[in-house]
Amino acid sequence: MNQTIFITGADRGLGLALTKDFLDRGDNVFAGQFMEDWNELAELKLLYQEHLFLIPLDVSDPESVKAAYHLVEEKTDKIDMLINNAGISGSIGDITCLENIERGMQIFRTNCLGPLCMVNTFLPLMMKKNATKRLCFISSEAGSISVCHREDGFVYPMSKTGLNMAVKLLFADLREQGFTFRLYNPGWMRSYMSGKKSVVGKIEPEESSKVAIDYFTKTLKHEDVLKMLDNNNMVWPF
Amino acid sequence: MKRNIILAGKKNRYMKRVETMLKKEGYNIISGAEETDILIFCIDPDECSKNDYSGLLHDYQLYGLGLLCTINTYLPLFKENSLKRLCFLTTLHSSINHVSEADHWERIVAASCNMAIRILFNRLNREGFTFRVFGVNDFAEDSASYAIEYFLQDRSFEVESDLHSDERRLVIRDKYEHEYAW
Repeated sequence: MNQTIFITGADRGLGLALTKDFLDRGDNVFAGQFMEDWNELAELKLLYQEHLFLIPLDVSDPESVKAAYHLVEEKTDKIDMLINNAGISGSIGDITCLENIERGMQIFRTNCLGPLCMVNTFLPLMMKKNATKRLCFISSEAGSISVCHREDGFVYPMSKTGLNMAVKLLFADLREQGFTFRLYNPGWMRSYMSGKKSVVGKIEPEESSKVAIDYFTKTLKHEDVLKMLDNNNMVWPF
Repeated sequence: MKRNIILAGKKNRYMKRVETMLKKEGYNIISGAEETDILIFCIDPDECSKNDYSGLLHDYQLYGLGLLCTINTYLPLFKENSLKRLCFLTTLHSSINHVSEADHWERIVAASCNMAIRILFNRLNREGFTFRVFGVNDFAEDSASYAIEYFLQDRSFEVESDLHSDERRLVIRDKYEHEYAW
């Protein structure tokens, strides 16, 4: 049965790849659009007039999230799956010479508080009786404290650790209400996280998207356990 | 020799007890202008509900980024012959693995701080800095003397056992010496 899915940060990279793959499956996709001047979503809209809806969205701004919710509720009576993909990267440098601290606030607002705000705001549409109630989060190996080998940068890993904690709290909060959760580390992608398409990395976003869709759409044997899985289906510790 | 100690982060009742006990034992609590041996930073974010985004952001600024700015400021005061120890007081509920109830959303900030400490450890341990992270169940509890003991205690003097001690590892311990998973 076709699903109705909201994907944040759908402009490019993994978000765009997920949007395309869900549309190919025949699902309806509400695509959170952060960059009005990036035209790939608009081009996709021409191909999927009936099934793709472009929604202006800045997840770091609760007012923008609220406005997005109102636009979505005009067009659908439920959201089955919310995919929190929007994210930005960045660094504040080495501990001996910190720089651009404000960037740390921006990254935390987007990567950690953004998904929390999305879930809180979109709950009414996801609580509908016939909705699938699935919450998906794109995290990162960078958020795993146990296996962290980084020595600088700080703020991107901190935002992803915060996200992992937020997801764990949401899991404790919403699991009994029938919500299921997916926490995904997409692997080292050649993405746009730094602002332009990366030339380093191990996989393309399109490859990671295929694994993500399988993980996000199937029913797990143990839905009462929250694990972070990567693009090789490996479990990552917190 | 009595050490010079800097106290930073939240000045809650727990930290006041830490300060009183340290002074009673003859340690010098300094404000930052002198050479220092130990820095103790208290991570105790204000309580936030799950939709208090501005509160969470404020906590993050004070404790997440504040922790980094504090270390950045005081690092030059740790001279080569000093103890070079960075200590952190936090809540045991900062452990992602141990979350079982949806309360205290400020844990998001406390967990982020744990990552900041991990990266600091990776960067500074090889330069001779040792780390201690002490977790409380509740900052109202009376465990300050346990925290101080852990902060001041050398865990190993031998290269052979260094790797297995808390001199070369980063763990959260409670008053019973239990280790908590991140």
